[in-house]
Amino acid sequence: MFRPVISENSNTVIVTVDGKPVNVAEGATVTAALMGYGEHKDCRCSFVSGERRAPYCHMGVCHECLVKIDGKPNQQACIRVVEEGMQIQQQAITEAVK
Amino acid sequence: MMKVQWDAIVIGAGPAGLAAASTIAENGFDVLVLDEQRSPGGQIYKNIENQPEQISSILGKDYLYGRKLVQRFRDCGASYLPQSVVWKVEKDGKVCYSRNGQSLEIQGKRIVIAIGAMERPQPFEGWTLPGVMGAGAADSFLKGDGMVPTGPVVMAGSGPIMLVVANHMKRLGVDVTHFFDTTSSGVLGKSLPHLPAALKRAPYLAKGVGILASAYLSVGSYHRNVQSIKAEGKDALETVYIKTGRKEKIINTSTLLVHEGIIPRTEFSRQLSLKHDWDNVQRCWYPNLDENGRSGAKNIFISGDGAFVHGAVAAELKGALSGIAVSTDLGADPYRMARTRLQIQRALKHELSPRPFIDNMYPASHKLSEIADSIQVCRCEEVKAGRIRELVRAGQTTPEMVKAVSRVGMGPCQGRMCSCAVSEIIASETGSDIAGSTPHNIRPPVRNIGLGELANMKLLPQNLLEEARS
Repeated sequence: MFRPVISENSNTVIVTVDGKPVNVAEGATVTAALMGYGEHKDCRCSFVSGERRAPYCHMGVCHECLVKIDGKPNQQACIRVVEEGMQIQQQAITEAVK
Repeated sequence: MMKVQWDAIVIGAGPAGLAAASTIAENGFDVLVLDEQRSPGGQIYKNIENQPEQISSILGKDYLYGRKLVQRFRDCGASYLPQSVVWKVEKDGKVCYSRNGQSLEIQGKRIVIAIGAMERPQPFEGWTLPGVMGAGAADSFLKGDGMVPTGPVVMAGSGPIMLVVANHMKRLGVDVTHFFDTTSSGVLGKSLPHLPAALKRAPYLAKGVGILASAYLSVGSYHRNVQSIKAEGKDALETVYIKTGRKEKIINTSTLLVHEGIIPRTEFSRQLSLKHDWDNVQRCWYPNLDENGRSGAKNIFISGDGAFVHGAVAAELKGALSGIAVSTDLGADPYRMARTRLQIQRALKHELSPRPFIDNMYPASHKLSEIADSIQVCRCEEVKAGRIRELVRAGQTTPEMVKAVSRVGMGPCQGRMCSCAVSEIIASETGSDIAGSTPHNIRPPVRNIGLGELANMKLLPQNLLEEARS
């Protein structure tokens, strides 16, 4: 979906994206980890019908980029910065009563 | 133990916030800047301190200008907390923010809110599909993370940012196959009366023409007279259908960048229940402020593009004016402040002279009130325009009422993406003047905070006690 303009990077951290380890530039946003280095097209399902959703505004406004970070859901991927060992997961939270 | 009481707290480290904070600090007062990003610069100068040369050389001298602004801020002695998400502001100057999973309540004698603008949400069929994003968003992703879209890109929209982004994409090897300019014809008629004032800044206008020409040369094909846009795909964008005049273009693509100008971010000003006015050309809410950015709550200032969209240079000047007003309030020499204020007001007047022309060249042309019934207006709660119209006809004639019944505005974005559209649809259905209406209430927290974090947060009285003891 996205590629880094500068492909060689000496400072990287390793995070997991849906369980898979991914090398990410230090200081990158979680969105970059997911959709750049991690090559995902989307990050969650919508709250009502479960349709696929992906980051839209990349500045903390649209709240589409909500993902689970280290077990905590509804984190804005465009705001959060990666850390060594961070566990990033797409989330499937809906408002439906089970 | 961190200081909890400040002379001033500035929210946002873009040009307005940086200028305000620098001014306040240089006048000898204690100021704290809270910003959600990891380094100063806001959106326009995002990542200016760490931008690799390969990218900064393409972003050009308008971007590089930010270095001066950020350096002044770094030198001025202001305190700065990056990666801090503010979620509540109160009229008495209390501010709640979240940092590293912990929330704190602090207080400033004066608050400057400088959170800037957002891309205008313009709903269309399929706009919620993965693969559709803002052109400004793509630029933000480039500046912050050095990322560009893989594969061919279609752009559809209007405004200076569209042109700048097309240029950036092209220069970084992105194949922009189609550029659909949605600017309506006939804008020249409305904007020409403002041209004489704008010509005071002929070089600036010439630069604009240059950007236009450069964008035109950056794209595979350029199209005007757009009637409709539709995005389609299963789980992600696959095809874009765009009607221009009588023809329909069908393009297979996985990335569509859209943009219809920018509007002020009003989450704090609405959370504070401040008065807002409606601008009929840009069709958006903006807070009611004096010429220094002071709101109806005398301790609260709103500055930069978040007050009204006038661009980055004007934002810096507006930030300086707010900084001067705050400094004067706090006790700086009023005569010295008045002299500086005069200089900055002159500079701002000069900077603003082309705005009426620009604002009329790129008005909000696509009537949000005419969105087709089948289109999702509220992305969070997936509510379509047709459902909103049904509710209005059934008697829910304000955004608050529509929200209560349908949850429009109750999702995590709290109406940031749908507020204007909802207000426009209601005004149109009821035949009333939108300027007389009020958008729905925004309650704190204005950002996602876990209940555990709220329960554990350190409140002001407790913080003050700890500070006194240490």
